[in-house]
Amino acid sequence: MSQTVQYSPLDKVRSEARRSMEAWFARLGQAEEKREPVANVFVMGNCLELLQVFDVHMVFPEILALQTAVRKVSLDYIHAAEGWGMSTDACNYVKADVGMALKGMQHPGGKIPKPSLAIGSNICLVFTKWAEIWERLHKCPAFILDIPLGRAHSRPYVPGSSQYEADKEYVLAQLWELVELLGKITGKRFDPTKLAEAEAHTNRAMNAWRGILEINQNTPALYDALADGVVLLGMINIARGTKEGADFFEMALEEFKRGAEQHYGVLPHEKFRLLFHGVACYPAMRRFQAMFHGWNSVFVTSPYLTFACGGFVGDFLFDTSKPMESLAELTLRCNHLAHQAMYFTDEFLFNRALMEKFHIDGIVFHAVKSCRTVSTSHANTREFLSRHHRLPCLYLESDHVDPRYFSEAQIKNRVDAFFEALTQKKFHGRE
Amino acid sequence: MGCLEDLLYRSRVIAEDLQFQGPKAWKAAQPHRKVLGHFQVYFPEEIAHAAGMLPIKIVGGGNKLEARRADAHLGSFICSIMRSTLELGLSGRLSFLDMMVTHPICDAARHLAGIWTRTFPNQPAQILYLPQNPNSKAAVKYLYHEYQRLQRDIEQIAGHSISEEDLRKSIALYNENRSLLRELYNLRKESPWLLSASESFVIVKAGTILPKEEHNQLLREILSLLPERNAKPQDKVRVVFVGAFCELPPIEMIETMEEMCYVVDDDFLIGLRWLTEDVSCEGDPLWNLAAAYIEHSTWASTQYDCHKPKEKMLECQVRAARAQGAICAAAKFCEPGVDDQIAYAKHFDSAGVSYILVEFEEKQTSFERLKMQTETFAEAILFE
Ligand code: SF4
Ligand code: SF4
Repeated sequence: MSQTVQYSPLDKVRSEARRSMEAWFARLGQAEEKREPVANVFVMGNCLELLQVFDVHMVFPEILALQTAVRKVSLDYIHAAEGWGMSTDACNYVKADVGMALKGMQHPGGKIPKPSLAIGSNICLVFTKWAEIWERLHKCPAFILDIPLGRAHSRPYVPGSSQYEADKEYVLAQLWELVELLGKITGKRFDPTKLAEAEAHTNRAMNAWRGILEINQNTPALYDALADGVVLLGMINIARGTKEGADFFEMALEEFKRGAEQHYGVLPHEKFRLLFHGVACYPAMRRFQAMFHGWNSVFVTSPYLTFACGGFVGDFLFDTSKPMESLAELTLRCNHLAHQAMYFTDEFLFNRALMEKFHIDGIVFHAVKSCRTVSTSHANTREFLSRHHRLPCLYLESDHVDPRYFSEAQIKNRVDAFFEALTQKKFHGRE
Repeated sequence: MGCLEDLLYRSRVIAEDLQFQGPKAWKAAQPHRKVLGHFQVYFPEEIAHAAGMLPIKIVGGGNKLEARRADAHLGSFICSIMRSTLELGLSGRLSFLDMMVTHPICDAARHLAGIWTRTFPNQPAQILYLPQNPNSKAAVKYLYHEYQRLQRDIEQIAGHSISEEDLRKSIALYNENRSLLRELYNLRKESPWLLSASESFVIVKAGTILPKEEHNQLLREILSLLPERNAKPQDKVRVVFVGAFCELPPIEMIETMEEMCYVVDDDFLIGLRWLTEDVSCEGDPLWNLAAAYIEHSTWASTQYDCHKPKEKMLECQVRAARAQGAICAAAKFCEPGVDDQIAYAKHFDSAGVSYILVEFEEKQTSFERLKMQTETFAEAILFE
C-alpha cells in the first residue's frame, strides 16, 4: 500500500534516540572526572536495574563496538587489537573494544571511562572471556552472573518446578553477592525502594517495547526491524530502568500507532516481508539494507530484537513488591527467552507463530563469522526449516564489525537469486 | 596381562576407532543397555554409570574423518571438533547413542544440543549447565540440583532409578580411574622417557569409550609394566602443552613436538582428569560430586574462576613439572583458546617463562611449520 501522507513515525523516534545516545556519551565523558563508578555490562545477562540503585554508569562495549563499524573506523581498532596479539578468530566486538582501550579509551562518540567493575554473564561465553581481558587490561574486578539457561529443545520451563526454583535460588544468591560488591565499590547502601522504582520504569518500557514489536504485524510494516530495530535496541539497553527509557518507548509506540492509523509504510511499495536472524552487518548497514529494499522487501521482525536486549520483551513484568526476588525471576525468564531465540531458533520461531502473525515470506540468516553465540545454528536451522517447513531461507555470512568480511558482489548475487525464487513462489506459485 | 607394546597398540586401536565398535558391542551384548554420549570437556560420568549406562566422551573425528556432510550444517567459522562431531552423527556412526549431552564450555558447543535435536530427533539431546560462577557461595548447591535434574533425565532413559549405593560404587570406580591417570601423569613428569606424551594420549583417549572397569584394568597393567621399560633419558627440553582442553591435536602433531621435547604435562582430555582428588563416598554422593567440581578441580580456558587466573595456573603447572617452557596452543576458531593465548604470552613475557604460541586443527595433516617452531623453541632453550 502506498503512503497517503508524508508523516513518518520514525522521525521523532530517531531524533529522540539520537538525543539520548548523545546524552549517554556526555555522561560517560564526565564520569571519570567526577570519579563516579562505572560498570562494563553486556546487552544480555545484565541486571541494569540493580546498577541504577547504586548510581553506577553503564558502559555497553558491544554498542560502542558496533558504533565503530557504523562510523567506518572499526578496522583501526581491530588492527590495534590484532597487533596486541588478538586472534583473527576472536569476536570482533572484543577486538574493537580492546583496540579502543589501546587507543586510550578514545571512541568516535567521545572519551569512554575505564570500568570500576565488569559484569559478565554466561549467556554468551565470550562475555566471560571478555571480562577476563578487562580484569587484566583495566585491573578491575569481574563478576560473572551465571544464569542457568534452556536445557533442551521444547522443554517447558515452568515457574514452581524444582528446576526453576533451584535456578532462581542460584541467581538470587548471586544478585545478593553483587549487591555486596556494589556496596563496596560505590560506598552506598542498597535501597530496595530505588530498585522497585527502576523496575517500574522497566515494566512501562517493556510493555511499550512489546507493543512496538507487535505493531509491525501491520501491513505495510511501520519500521524496518533491522535498520530501525537497532535504534530501538540501543534505547532498551542504555535506558532500561529509567524514566527516560519508559517515556521514550511509550512515545515511540504512540508514534507507530499514529503511523498505522495514517497507513504509513516504511517502504512505499512493500512486496516481501522478511524475518532477519542474526546480528546486523554494521560495517555495511546501508548497502546491506539497499539490497533488500531494492526488491521492495522489508524486515518486519527479528529475534535480534529479543536476544540483544536479554529477552526483555517477554510477557513478564517485575513484581515491584518483592524487587530482588523479582529481579532474579526476570533475569532468568528473560534470558531464557533470549537463549531460546539464539540456541533453539526453530522452536522460538514456531512457538510464537511469528510466521503467520507477521505474514512472513522468508527468513534471512546473517551469520556473523566472529560470533559463534548467534550464528552457530544458522546453517543447520536454515537446512531444517527449508526441508521440514518448506520455508524460503537465505543464508549469508559476513561480520558485525570487520568490513573485510563483507563481500558485496557475492552477497548481492545470493540476495538476488533468493528474491528471484521468492518472486516465483509468491506471485507465480512455483517453487 | 599382555606385553607393554601390545597394550599400547590396543590403546591406539581403541582410541582411533571411529566406528565405535567397542560401545556398540557393549550395547549389543545385553538388551536394554543404553549409551550416553557427552561432548567435551567435563561430564559426571558416575551418574550415567550408576544407572547401568555406558557413558562415552565424544571428542570429534580427528584427521581421519572428512566432514563432508557437516559442511552444509555449520558455517565456515566453526571449529573442527564441532564439525567432525556432527559428521560422526550424520554418517550414522553415533546412531547407537540413547542420549547426548553438551555443556556451556563455549558458544559453539552449547549449540550442539539444538543442532542435535533438529538433526537427530530420536536422540534426546540436552545441555548440562555446569556453573560459570564457581565463586558464588551458592554454586555447589546449584550444581547439586542440576545433577539431580540430570539424574532424573538419565533415570528416565535408563528405565530405572539410581540408588545412593549405586552412585557410591560408581564414584569409587571413577576415583580409581582418576588416581591411575594421576599416576600415569606423575610417571611422565618423573621419567618422561618411559612413556611419551603421544602414548599417554592414546591410553587416556581409550578411556573415552572403554567401560571404566576395562580402562582401569588397562591402566593398571600398563603402569605395572612401564618401570621395566627399556628406555633411556634423552637430551630433550621439558615442556608443558596447553590448549587441547577440547579439540584434540592429531597424534602426529604430538609426535612432532616430541622429536625435540619431552611433553611432561598437558591438558589432553582434561575433562577425564577434571576432579583432582578422590570424591568422598560418605554422605550424599551427588552432593560430593557437585562439591568436587567446584572445590577440587583443575582449570581450563572454558571455565571462569576468579581464583584461577589461567596464566598463573599454567605458570604453576610449568614450575611443578620442572618444565623449561610451555607450548601454548589454540584450536582454529576456538575463542576460549585464542583469548587465553594472549594472557599466557603477556604474563610469560614478564615472568620470564619461555613459550611459543601454536595454532592447530584436529584435521591437520601437515606439521612442517610446527616442526620448525618447536625446533627453534627447543634450541633457544637448550642454548639459553
Ligand atoms: S560472540 Fe556474539 S554475542 Fe558474544 S560478544 Fe561477540 S557478538 Fe556478542
Ligand atoms: S574447540 Fe573450542 S570452540 Fe570448539 S567446541 Fe571446543 S571449546 Fe568450543
